[in-house]
Amino acid sequence: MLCKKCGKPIKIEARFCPNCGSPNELGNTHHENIVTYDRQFKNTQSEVVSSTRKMWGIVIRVVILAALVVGMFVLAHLSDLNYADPDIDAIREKESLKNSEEYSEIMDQYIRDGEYQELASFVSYHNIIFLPEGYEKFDAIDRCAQAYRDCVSDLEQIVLNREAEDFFDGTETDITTFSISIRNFYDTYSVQIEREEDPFYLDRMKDMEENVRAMLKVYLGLGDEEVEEFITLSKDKMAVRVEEAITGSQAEE
Amino acid sequence: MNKTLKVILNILIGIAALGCLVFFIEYAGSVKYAHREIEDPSISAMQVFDYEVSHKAYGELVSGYFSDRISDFDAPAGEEILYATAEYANRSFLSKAYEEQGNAEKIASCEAKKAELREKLGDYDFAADEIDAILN
Repeated sequence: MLCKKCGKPIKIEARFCPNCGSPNELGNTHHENIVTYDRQFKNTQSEVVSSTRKMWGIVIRVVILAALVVGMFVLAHLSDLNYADPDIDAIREKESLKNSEEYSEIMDQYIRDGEYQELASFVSYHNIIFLPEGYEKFDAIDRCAQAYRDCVSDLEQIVLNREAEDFFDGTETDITTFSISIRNFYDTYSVQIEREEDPFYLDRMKDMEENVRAMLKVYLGLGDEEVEEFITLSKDKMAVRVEEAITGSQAEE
Repeated sequence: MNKTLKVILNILIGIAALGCLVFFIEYAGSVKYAHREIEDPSISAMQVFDYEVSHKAYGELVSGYFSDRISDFDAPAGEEILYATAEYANRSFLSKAYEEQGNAEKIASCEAKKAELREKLGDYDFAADEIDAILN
């Protein structure tokens, strides 16, 4: 552009003419605008910085709060882990499913050997569940074996405590417990024998029943006919009969 | 607005910090629990066993044996004699029933097992004699 006074060329942003020194209006306006824009820019910048700082204060607080909440959950979870005992039953159940072939062979061996109490204890210990993919074939015979084990164990408790005066009272809980378990054995046996399809297992279940009959004869002094009658009695009548047998035999001694 | 929010957040942080402290104390307690000293269970098991044997309570012994086997199928360390005595009593008991049945094979198997178990009894050999005496 040209200076309005001397007509010499000057730059548009020059505040004065370098030739005659007269003020350049456009240049001055431009300069004022620049100052205004700069001030506005600085104001805006400081507002943005201030606003961001305020936001940062909130963000930091939210982060701290979140970290504390997560910390609480982590500590609570770790405490639970320390207090919790391992779920042995679940572990054994998992193992039994994994080793079904090996365990089935062991169980079959117990059955072949007539070790029914061992079979029942083995199944209980390993928390074996009779699923179609694993042990289903043992379901009926194991139910029988469990009842057999309880029944034999309860009779053993009575018989083998005979000389333990501090532990044995013939009219009390031992006889009641045995009466319940032998009634349970016969109830279980009658149901499971109908369910069992394998002739070998069926034969083994009958073997258990014969063992129980033999025990009743030996340890309660019952004859064949008495045993036949005894196994049809209710558990309460069984208890009376057992008490008679035990106290009778003690009196004889 | 921001100030109110900050105050609320500060209060929440205070509460959460307190919660953390409580959970940390709980956690410290749980660590102590996890590393607590547990008395060897075989010591008390053998004390009960001695008491039962001294009172000839072999019925209790066998009953406990079958319950114990649900959690420990094989004898835990230190309880071998307990298991052997209980199994001896069980075999003797069954043997009498097999005699009633006249099942020679089962009797022979029982007697062989009894002889094997008797060897394990050591100082408790007398318990086997007492069991046989009770059953005969």
